[in-house]
Amino acid sequence: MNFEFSEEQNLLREQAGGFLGDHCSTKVVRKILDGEESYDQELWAKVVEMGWTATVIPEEFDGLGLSYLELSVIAEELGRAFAPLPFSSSVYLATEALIAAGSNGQKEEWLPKLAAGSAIGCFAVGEGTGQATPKSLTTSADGNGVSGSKIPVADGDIADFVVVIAACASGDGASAYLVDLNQASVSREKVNTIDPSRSHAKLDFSSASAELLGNEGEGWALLQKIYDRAAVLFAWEQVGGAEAALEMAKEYAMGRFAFGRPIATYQAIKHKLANMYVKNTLAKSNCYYGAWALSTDAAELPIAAATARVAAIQAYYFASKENIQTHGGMGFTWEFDCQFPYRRSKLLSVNIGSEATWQEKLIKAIEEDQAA
Amino acid sequence: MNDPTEGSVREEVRTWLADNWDPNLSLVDWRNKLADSGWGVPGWPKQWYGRDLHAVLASTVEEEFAAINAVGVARTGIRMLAAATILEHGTDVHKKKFLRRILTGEDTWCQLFSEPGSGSDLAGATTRADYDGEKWIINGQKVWTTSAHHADYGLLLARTDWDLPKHQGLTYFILNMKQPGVDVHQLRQMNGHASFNQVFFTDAQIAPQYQVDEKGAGWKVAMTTLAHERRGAGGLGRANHDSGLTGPIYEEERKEIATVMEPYKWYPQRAGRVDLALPRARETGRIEDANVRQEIAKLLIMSKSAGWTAQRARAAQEQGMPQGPEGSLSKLAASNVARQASRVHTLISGADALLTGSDGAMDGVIAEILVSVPATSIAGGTDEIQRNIIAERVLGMEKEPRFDTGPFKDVPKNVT
Amino acid sequence: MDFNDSTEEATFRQEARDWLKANEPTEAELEGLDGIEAAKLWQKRKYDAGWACIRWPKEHGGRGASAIEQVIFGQEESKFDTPEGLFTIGHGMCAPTMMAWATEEQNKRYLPKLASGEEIWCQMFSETAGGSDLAALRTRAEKDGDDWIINGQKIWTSGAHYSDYGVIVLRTDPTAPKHQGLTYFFIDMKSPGIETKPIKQISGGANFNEVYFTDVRVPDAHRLGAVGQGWQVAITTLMNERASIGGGGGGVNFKSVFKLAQTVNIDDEPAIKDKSVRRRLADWYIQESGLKFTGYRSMTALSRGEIPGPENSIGKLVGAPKQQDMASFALDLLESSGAIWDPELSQEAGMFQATYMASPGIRIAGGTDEIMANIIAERVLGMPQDIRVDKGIPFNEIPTSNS
Ligand SMILES: Cc1cc2nc3c(=O)[nH]c(=O)nc-3n(C[C@H](O)[C@H](O)[C@H](O)COP(=O)(O)OP(=O)(O)OC[C@H]3O[C@@H](n4cnc5c(N)ncnc54)[C@H](O)[C@@H]3O)c2cc1C
Ligand SMILES: Cc1cc2nc3c(=O)[nH]c(=O)nc-3n(C[C@H](O)[C@H](O)[C@H](O)COP(=O)(O)OP(=O)(O)OC[C@H]3O[C@@H](n4cnc5c(N)ncnc54)[C@H](O)[C@@H]3O)c2cc1C
Repeated sequence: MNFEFSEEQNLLREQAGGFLGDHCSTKVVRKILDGEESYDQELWAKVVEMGWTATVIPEEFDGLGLSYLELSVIAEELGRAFAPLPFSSSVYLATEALIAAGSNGQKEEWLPKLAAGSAIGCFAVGEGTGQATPKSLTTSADGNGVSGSKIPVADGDIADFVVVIAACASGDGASAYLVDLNQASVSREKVNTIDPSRSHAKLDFSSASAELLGNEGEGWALLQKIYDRAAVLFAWEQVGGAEAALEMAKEYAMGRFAFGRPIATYQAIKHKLANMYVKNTLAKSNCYYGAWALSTDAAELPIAAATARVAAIQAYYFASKENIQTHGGMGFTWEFDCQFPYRRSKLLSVNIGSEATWQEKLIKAIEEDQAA
Repeated sequence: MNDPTEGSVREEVRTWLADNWDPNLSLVDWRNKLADSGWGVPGWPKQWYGRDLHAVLASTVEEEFAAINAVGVARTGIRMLAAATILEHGTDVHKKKFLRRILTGEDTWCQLFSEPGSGSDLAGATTRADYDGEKWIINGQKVWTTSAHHADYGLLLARTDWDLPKHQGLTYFILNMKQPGVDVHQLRQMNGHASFNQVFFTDAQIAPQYQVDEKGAGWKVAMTTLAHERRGAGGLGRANHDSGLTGPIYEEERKEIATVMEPYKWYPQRAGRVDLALPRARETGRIEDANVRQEIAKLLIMSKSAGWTAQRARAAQEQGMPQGPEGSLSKLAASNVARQASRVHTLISGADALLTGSDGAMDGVIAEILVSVPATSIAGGTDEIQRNIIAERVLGMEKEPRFDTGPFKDVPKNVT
Repeated sequence: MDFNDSTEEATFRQEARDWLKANEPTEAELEGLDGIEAAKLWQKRKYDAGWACIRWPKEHGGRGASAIEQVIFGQEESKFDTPEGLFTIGHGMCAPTMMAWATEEQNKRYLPKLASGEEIWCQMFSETAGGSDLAALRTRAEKDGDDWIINGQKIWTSGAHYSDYGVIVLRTDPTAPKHQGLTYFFIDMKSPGIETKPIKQISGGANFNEVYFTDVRVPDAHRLGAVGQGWQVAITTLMNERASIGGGGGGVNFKSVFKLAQTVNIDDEPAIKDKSVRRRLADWYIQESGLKFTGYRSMTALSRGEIPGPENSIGKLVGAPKQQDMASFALDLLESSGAIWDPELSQEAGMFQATYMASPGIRIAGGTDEIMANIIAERVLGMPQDIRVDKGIPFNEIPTSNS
């Protein structure tokens, strides 16, 4: 049994944590939240320099060829820092889509740029309220290219290309397309979201020139595959954030007095924090499982991913809301940092399919596993 | 003279309105007439702008005003809390100086209770009032003060004795907000709105006659203010006539209400917007999903039982029973309802719940719900405090051991 | 990161598995034996072959195996349907306390017989006056020559009625502050003056007892630790208790409720098709999986020769309420037939009903949910202790419920 990160991986975690502590304090997050910038370009440049965007890209495409365990470690630390970066879109989604389904030419064109951070990718599925399904999609492709609208697209305003899931009459009802965003037939417009420290856009395609990614009519299956992989990495970010929220709550509770005693001496507060710890620990252990399944391409990945994802959604939401509660009125002010985990927890929980979607995926995967 | 009956009161107010109501009067002129006649606040004492009528008869009067769309006295904001407190604890000087201008709407009030260091523990206030032989000198800071930026007067709770136990060293004052020692800064909340203020005092002054009740009686007086607040006397006074009416007096009144309402415009969102759950589920088709149905059912059950519980409490009060700690139950229920509503809205909207402003579902209302709901379980007494109140005062359980009963200066606290 | 055994671990696992396969008691062997006899038979067999209490040193009846080997053996043994449970308290809690505090001669005398199952031990800590607040106990011991004389009453003692020995905490100085007036002993349950009365539980079983002491003599030589040091010794036992009670994987779990949901209907369709049933199940699955992998993380620490981190402390706090909720949910799924509790008529021979009735006890025994939450807040998160009103006061001046 070796269900632990290796010494090198733990070292990487320490380095990443230290680096983000120095360069991604909540002041940096606040700057993006309050300002017009979509992400922190300076921080992005440094993250790229550290090679984080290249982590799992194979060496033949100028990547580092490291494993998903390393990427999990980085994700956890980015989550802990509420990093205002397009990392999840570009690395967990766009890079994964290319690795999973890109032709050699497509990989050669984009992967080295993704690794070097000179290109940022994003991923577009949803088209407004509710769950997206092959039947609900209206964006589609014909001989002239892709047409339709996608909203919200994380980092759609600043990305260089997008992977679009479009409706398709054959196969599983969808196809994936690679669309260069620097063309006139795509218009993009930044949209306001619940977490302004992570930018989102509405993308309108009118016969935008596009390349098929993978096979026609296999887009929905590809999407599931990418989501399963991304879910593990999202879950690590969420767990990192949940732990940060617990840490914030603890620190405040120890120093805040009410009725002549620190509020940390009230069981209402102690048990609240103990519950956060329990949820965080369960979620983290499930993330270990997810990381293992992802790094070994295990057949259990769909189950492991859904397990990690649901646990992480629940833990982060709980920790972030109870952190505000622990802070009392001050927790609800703009000035305090409690808003960061609260905003981010909801953003990450609806970004690649919400809690209900993943609960359903989990049970379906267990049913399939049982039938097999 | 016979005791007034519903019939006699109705008759009398009708006649008076027929003779006096004139929508072309200015708002202040009309309300001065109301103050002089006692019809504006018929439940108040005769001596002070009222008619000593029982609450039931006072509502008869309101009906008659509503029937002809006659405008009433100013009721919005903190002013009615100020009035109630002054009526109960104030001197004749206070009553004479303040009550009429409260009713006419000429003066605006705010409540200076919460501090950065004392919210749940309101009696832990550290804003100080020191008597220099002629006047009180105020130093310290208040927070969460609605309307402070345009208020004329504030109801201030300040510490006048640091050697006494904390509840005994507080005194209640009326503070003139328009003076050099009072600095008002906006406080921005997590949801982006700035509905409140921080108020800083640097040697602000209060003349001795604006102390309310005894020195050291501040906590008792503040309890009166809070009891009226819980009873819903403050806040969102509504116009009692429909909105289509035109005419100068209506315009004036609408403007008055809009100003007061401004800070509260996100309040429906903070309560979770239960009303939107079913329509949204239908509109998006998510109503077909068994989960969504169950969660909405749960929400409606919670919200309905909260509503009925509140109604029982109200009915009991109308029967003349004192308001009890059951208010805590409603407060706690409201938090639970708000959280469940937020859950339902996320479930229905999916990723769309993220979008704020005009990009978002229902122009961002859904997103605003998500970022506003956390306030419900904090503002006006946190959930934890409500549970303590229920345990101690409703169930009769023992209090937690206390460490703040000695001289206030020795009580462990955050120093600000 | 992998789930694989190291080479040595794999060899050990294979050895254990082979032995278990060859030596598992047959139905014929168990025929006619009651639960206690069956458990003793199996324990003796393991002991004779060197597979009992394998973590213990050889001279105490064990195998001198490593912590990870113990986990591996436990995993393998749990795959067989062997009689178990009887020795949990003795092996899991009493023995580690003996090893830490008894003399070498005592350990040589008592531990091998405990390992072999010839002697059963129980734990007499709780009293009506103190369960969570163990140090509030009042049962007295007074020195009389080389003996101590015990008077008072213990309660909730699991297995007292069939135990040979028991560990016990007693008050030896009522004028000292409460944690300082306690002394710890082990005691022969057949001593004159001990009377056990079974308590019927809400689950119908009667596994625990009231134990009455009337002038019971225990030799001073059976004292563990110094006079007045009983609290520290008790901590040794309690730390081991929480580790051995753990998550409680048995009884109702995801698998059994999932299966049930496939067999019963909601609106003429299998319940498993109902979205809200699926969501509930998903939540329990992730809790179970979270506990399982938390266990794996601890095992990894053990396998590296490290001490598992604090994440271990959550097992009981998560596991016990989860069992209760799942059992309750299962009964709801069964609709009106959920009320039937009959091995012949009920699904799974009444397991859902049995768990529903037993789970309240699991949330109390060995530290209630609230106490576990306190422990996590204080020891794991480093938050301050509860405000105490009983600190430093002589025990006989502390306010109590019923004196
Ligand atoms: C949106 C909003 C509007 C507000 N409006 C007003 C207003 O109009 N006027 C006004 O005066 N104030 C207002 N407030 C302030 C509000 O009343 C206080 O924030 C609230 O009472 C909590 O006090 P606190 O912020 O000091 O938190 P603290 O008292 O510091 O509480 C921090 C945490 O400790 C817990 N805690 C404290 N004491 C105990 C205890 N004894 N047992 C268990 N747990 C405990 C609390 O529940 C909370 O979780 C508003 C606050 C908000 C967020
Ligand atoms: C099935 C079963 C088997 C058992 N077997 C044994 C055994 O073999 N040997 C033995 O010695 N004992 C045994 N016990 C007893 C068990 O250890 C006690 O019941 C347990 O420690 C709780 O103590 P109590 O019953 O006195 O409850 P109390 O301590 O009176 O607790 C009552 C309630 O108050 C809460 N509470 C108490 N203190 C605090 C606090 N500080 N903060 C917050 N909440 C608090 C508790 O959580 C609980 O909800 C067994 C119990 C059960 C149910």
